Amino acid sequence: MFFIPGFVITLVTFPGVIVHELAHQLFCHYFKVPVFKVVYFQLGNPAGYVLHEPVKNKAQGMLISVGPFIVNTVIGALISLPAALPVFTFHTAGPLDYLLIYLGVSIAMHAFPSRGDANVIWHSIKEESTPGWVRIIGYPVVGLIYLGSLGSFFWLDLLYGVGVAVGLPNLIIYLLR
Amino acid sequence: MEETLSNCANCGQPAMDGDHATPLCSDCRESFTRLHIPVWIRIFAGGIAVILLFSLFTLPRSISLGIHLEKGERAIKAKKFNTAVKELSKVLEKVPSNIEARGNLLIAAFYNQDFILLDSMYKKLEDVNIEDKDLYGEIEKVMLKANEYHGTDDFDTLAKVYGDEVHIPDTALSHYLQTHSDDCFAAFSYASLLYDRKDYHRCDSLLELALQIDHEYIPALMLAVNVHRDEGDLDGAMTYTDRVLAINHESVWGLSAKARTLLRQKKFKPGLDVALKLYDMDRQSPYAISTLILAYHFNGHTGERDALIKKAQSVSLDPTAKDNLQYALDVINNKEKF
Repeated sequence: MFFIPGFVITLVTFPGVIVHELAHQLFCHYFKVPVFKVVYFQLGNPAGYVLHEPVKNKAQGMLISVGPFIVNTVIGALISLPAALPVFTFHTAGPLDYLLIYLGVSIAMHAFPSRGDANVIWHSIKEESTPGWVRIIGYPVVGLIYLGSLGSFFWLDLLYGVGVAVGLPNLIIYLLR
Repeated sequence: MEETLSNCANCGQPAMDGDHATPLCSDCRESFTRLHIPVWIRIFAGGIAVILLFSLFTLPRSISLGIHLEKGERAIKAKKFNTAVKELSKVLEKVPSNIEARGNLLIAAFYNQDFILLDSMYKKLEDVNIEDKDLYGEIEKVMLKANEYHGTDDFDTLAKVYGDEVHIPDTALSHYLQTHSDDCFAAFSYASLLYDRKDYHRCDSLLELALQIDHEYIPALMLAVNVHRDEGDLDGAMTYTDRVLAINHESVWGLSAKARTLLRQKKFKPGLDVALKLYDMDRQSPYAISTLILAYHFNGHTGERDALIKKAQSVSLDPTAKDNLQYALDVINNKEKF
């Protein structure tokens, strides 16, 4: 396992960070939650964040936190899908295909919610007013986010990005054949 | 309990009523819930949207090619080499340099006994580095088998002594086979000569010898079908037909031979079913067309038979196709014994 400073990875995969924060913001806007500040990208920790009003509706709060997981995964997959086969199967890829793969992987690897997102969900579902079903979903989600965060040390986020960009096209072909 | 109204956390004006975590006046709340996206992020998002649209536009083509390749490779594994050729050819139409498609097409071409295609694929792969070890292994195996379809240097030397292989005397061939007992091509060549002389018994023995050397030697299996058919041993012919079809489930020759053998066995309906299956699989094949004409004929479907004859005659036919069609017409007109 080799070590690359986090800011280098963040810098190289900045499109994913921007899409991640934009997804938080869009989910806030959808649920009419006031957003006080958005940092789409910075060379620091965190690489980006959205400061919004605490959400009373726990389900909405959870969706705002995990929104990037959905948005980044879908956009990353759609962007890289047409390029994955020319690059990895047909070996006929041109520069545009490599650009699509880079963008797809960058965006998909930032799908994982951050530990900050997990903390928001954690504090939210701990409250007494949280409905039981939100807790049932929330606790495993928080656990998975922490695991994902831990796994990012072992390149789990990159593996996820590559899996979405490369594995998904092959899965689709396998299912459609 | 008396409700306390706070001031707006942003502008200091009285905050609006409502169950919110942050006290905000209505203007500030509306402002903060509005979507404020900087211009550079809008441009970035616009760029991503354009790329996304482009991706969605090109996605069907890419997926379709992937499906054809996957289907082709699966067809190879399932020994459906006719399907494999169709699927892999579609891939090569769009991606002519694809090594996997070329390699698999070479394999399919061999089992379809299409040596023009095999040769063409081999030439295209000759100087290419094939990274897929399994594919490389399969290609190597097929090329070794294909080598058995040509005379060895020793056999070619012998043929040159007598002008060509057809003119090698029996004694020289027998002697050659005694000293070259693993030469499949020589055994088959001698068997072919004996078949032409209608010496079926000795021909059959030599075919058995060739099949002992390589039990999947397709020309020997095909000739064995003809030998047993000509000897009136239709069950024996069917056994060899099934061996051809076990190697290639979609062998046009094998399915055609099976349909014709069934028709000869007076199993007209099963014969028609096989002929229809064959025709559905390959509507261009002269074998498939003439076999279906015969199957229609023996099943009394004269309307379909005549329509197919008319259709076959309306297109320009190569000599093989002409011969096949003529054979079917001769059988129908009782000029040829079936």
